[in-house]
Amino acid sequence: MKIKEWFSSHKPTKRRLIQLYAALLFNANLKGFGNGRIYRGPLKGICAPGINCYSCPAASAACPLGSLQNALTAANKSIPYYMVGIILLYALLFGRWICGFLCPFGLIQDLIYKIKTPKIKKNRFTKILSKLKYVILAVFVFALPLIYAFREFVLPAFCKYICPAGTLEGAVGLLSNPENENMFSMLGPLFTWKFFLLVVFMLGAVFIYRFFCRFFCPLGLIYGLFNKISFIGVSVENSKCTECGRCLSVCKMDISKVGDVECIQCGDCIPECPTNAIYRRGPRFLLDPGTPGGTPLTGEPEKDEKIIKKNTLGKRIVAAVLAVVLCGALVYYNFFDKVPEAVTGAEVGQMCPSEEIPLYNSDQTFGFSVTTTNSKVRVINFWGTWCGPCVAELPHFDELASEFDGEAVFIAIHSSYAADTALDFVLANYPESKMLFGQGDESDSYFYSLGGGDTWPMTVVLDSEGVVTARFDGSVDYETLKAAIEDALN
Amino acid sequence: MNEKKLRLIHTVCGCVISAALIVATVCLILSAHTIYTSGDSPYTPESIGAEYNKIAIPLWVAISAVFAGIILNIALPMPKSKAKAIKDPFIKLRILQKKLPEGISHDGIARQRYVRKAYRAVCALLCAIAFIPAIITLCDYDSFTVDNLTPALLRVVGMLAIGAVISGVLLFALSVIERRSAEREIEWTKVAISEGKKSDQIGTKNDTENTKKIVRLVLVGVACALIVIGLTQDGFYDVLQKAIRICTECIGLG
Repeated sequence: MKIKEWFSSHKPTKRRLIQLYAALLFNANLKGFGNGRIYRGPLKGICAPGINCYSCPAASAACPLGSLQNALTAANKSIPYYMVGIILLYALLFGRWICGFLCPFGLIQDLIYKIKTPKIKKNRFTKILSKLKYVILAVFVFALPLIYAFREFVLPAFCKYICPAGTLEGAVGLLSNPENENMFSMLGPLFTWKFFLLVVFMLGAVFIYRFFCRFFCPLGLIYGLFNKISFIGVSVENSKCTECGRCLSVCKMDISKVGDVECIQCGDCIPECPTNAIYRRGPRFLLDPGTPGGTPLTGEPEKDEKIIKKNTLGKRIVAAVLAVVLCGALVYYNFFDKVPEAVTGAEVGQMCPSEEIPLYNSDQTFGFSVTTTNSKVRVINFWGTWCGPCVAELPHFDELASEFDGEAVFIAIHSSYAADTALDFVLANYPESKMLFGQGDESDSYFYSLGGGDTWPMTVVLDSEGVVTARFDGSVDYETLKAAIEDALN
Repeated sequence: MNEKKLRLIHTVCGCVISAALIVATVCLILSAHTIYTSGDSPYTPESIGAEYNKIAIPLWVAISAVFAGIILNIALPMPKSKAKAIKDPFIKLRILQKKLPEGISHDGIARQRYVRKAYRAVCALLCAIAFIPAIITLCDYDSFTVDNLTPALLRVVGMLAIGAVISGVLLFALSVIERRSAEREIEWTKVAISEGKKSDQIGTKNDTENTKKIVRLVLVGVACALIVIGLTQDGFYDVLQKAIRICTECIGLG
């Protein structure tokens, strides 16, 4: 009986249902948890509105903050119109309603906060601390990626050093699958730091409401700046407001007034307002009739009844459409999306599959291929100009290529995407390199046939007979690679 | 069971859960540190699993405590507490200002506002200075070569931690000062209400809905134009190419 009572008093609110819906929609590729692979289809080019790491095995869309940083890291080549436009559009349509209703990481924090412990309520100190977001936005999202972009170095600083969603959904999500056992070899200081931050953020979320959102989330800040003019949101009717302050005492965020930058538009203050001065704004058919933003009631019972019925029908139609969209997404991502075929010839000790990939040297002389370089030890590196660690380790390959000149061939194969920028990059940075470079549509299939999963960079060392003697998923340092080449030579 | 006893049970239970969670968190951090400093790289699920097996007890205790809390909440639910009286002096101040007749102020009010602004400016400047060494290191290209990654990261983390500690102390001091200042302003506001001095410093500004609508529409137009320009410049594929590949360093794997 008590359980029944408890459930009736704790049944999920509309907000919680929308949060769950959004979390499931933006993570519809549930089969990713089973096979340990991320979704690689064309829909990944669409951004989800909230923070949702695109390296999460279940992620069905891209993360707007990661994509924005990625676009900024290429700001020396092109202006990021697309990402700026997308984020601006989301901000204008929803404002921080996204934080309150659509962000999967917000949902995680909301659920963690439900753990029954003494809570640290908002105070002057938390209010001041909430300004930390501005520093993080300026330094980690804009300044560092831009500064490094003009030095030809990819550094999505927020994702790399701070983002707990990336660690929880991406790193931990991938590591938890036995298929990705090889990823454990990459763990080091960076993961230790990110894991430490994740644990601290999670513990913080137990005691402080929306610990990450309030003090650290730069995306929430961007959306918050548009709170006052966003299409969907919460407003106050100034003529009705008596400044009793009840809304501020109910709110768990560090707001100064309803609807400011810190407000996540959750609407918890609406029922608390004694004068009904707070109301939701948005599409009229979704708002309750009689409320300031909704359809006005006439005062005649019959007409009002019709208006209410029409409104209820409208809401049901929207709910049905959303349910169909979710079902469609679940079916598409889990049953119709093709995962790349399983790997072959990847393991150490097995023969490397042959592939005719056109290669060129730093003089732009073509005519080489992976198979024509047979009879020598080969170091095949898969890289991309968009990938920070790939670009960072290339100098070691260049150095080792000179050191083992005549004994080993170094082949750096660029991913098929953004291949047009690879040649410019090579000519600008490695004009006298002994390495051979490759790019083309076949490069990705060769990557997979050599055992590549979804992680870049990857390096494979082959002996003179074409047998794989070492394989490195992720970055490899100078000493380790040198030792692997010496092993292959012997 | 009366409410007082119920509250006591929930408070004790909450404290136990908190303690269990904090212990589990500390254990997790220490284990991660031990794994990192053990130098067993390259790691395997077995080597990491062996280390985490050592802290299985505190982890299970924490998980059990959380579930015990849920069960307690079902069995003995707490009655909903009423909204508490507002303690924040700034909210009190705003309520008081509403009672202040339009155009009435006091010199003391203006003085307290200047004091707060000055303190905030000084505090912001000092916080910025505290983070300068960390930012310089972060902007140093040579810090992040693969060979030099560990010491460079540790240096940055150390500098960030020092900056954070200094800023934390400064911000705490600022919050105390601001509170005192607001309390003084409350006193002056009460005096101003009773004295009824005229001033032109207090006023309110109401945004018109129409202006907001126009700004919103113009900006939506700008956003759509940016998206279209971005699409013509392959912005969609730039997002796609990053999203379908895992950049291990970008998600903190290493």
